[in-house]
Amino acid sequence: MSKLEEAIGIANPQHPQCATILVLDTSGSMAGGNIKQLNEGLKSFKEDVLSDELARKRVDLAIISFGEGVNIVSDFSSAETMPDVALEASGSTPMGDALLMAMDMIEQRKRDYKDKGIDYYRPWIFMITDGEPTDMDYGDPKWNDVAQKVKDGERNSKFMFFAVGVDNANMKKLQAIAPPERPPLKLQEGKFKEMFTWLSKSAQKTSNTKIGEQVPLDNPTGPQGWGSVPTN
Amino acid sequence: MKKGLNPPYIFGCPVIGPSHSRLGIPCQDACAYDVFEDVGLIAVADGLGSASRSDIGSRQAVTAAIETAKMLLKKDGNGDRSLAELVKGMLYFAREQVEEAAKREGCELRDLATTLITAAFDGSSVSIAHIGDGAVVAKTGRGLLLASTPEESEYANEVVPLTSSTWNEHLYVRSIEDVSLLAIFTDGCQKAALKKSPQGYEPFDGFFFPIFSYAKEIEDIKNANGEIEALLSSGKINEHSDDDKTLVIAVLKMRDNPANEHINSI
Repeated sequence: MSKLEEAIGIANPQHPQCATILVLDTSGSMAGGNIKQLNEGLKSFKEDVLSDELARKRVDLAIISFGEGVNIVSDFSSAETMPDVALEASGSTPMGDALLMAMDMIEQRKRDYKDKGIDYYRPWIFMITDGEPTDMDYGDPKWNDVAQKVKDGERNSKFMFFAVGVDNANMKKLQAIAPPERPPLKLQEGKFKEMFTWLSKSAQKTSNTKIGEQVPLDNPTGPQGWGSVPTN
Repeated sequence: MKKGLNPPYIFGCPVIGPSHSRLGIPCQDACAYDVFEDVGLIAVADGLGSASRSDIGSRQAVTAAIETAKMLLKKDGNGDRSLAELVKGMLYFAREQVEEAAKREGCELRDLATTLITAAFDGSSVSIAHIGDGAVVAKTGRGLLLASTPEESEYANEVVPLTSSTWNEHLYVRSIEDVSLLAIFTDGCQKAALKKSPQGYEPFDGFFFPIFSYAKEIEDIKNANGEIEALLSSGKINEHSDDDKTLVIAVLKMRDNPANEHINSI
């Protein structure tokens, strides 16, 4: 180590943060294979993020589940300090409340970063569901509120919103919630692992760029991908 | 006998960032400096990553700035010289020369886009002209001073360069007195050197105190440049920025005034 390297301190040792919220459907219909794959996927996602030197310091991860109510399974933390989670499936699909909570948490997190002088990337909201919302319906005031906030957030670069439908997810309704710039994807059967690998790779790619730079993501619907875009 | 060089003297260098060396892109930072007729002259430039040949732009800008300053100083002889006019002149002429370089290279001016900081000092008086990001920190009798700040824009990576048609509106000029040490650096050093708070930037003691202490003790400019190069390519610095980095340090000559003695001892 050079003499000066040893002597100096770094003014802002905090790494820029990439806030990522996973909004996960844990309703009763996820029971069985899906919830098992979801838990396994989360575990490998955490391991992948930890294996990347920058991503482990920069990805700021939170998990919300919606099923038996809306719960913060794990509040924002680095992958290093995030506890292992084991989700259980039960209850209905309060997706509207879960999304409102996720968007609030993102805004609050950005305020925290600003107060501490920490730079940040555009946050991610990544939702996985196998159904349709049970706490709002197409066209009611709550639906309009949620859908408008998602679209405005995406358009005003407040966050990036990804929605993934599993099995019998109502893709039409997901499409109506998701921003037109980023339509929902249908998970190909059993490809949870591939999806989480893509997610951790994308997080790693983001963490390795400068803030403000465009990050080209792998196409999740390509031949090696895990999702497809519903055409009907 | 006291060790070390006799002020004024200047040292420092640009270092290519890991991201540029990985991609085979040349270093886009450049610096030039000299002490001419007792006047210290410094130019530091950061070629924009978005401009294809900004390495040429930044090199041209710093070379032109120093050459102009020497020409102007020669012309003035020992008459009254305004440091503020001098640093502005350095910047104007650098802009002209970058335009010439664009013609010579057969490219657009924006392909050579670069920031530029010029500084001149005489005794402990300093003037700075600044366009774009990067910053200047001075050690004065009252402590560390952020003499010129990076121009703030809403989004990261948006900077008005010397080559912009509106550069004149973004030009910042400042003169300060009672300066014993000066550090000029590009934005690659910013995370290490400037503390960021909701109120803005301030110089970080933990970065500048060791560097300024070292600067006063050096015995050889070449070795000191090697030390700065080692610092700027170190893991500690690169962990926070993989951009090119330039750091130039000047040790100024204080007037023989006992009241100023404390200034030279951090």
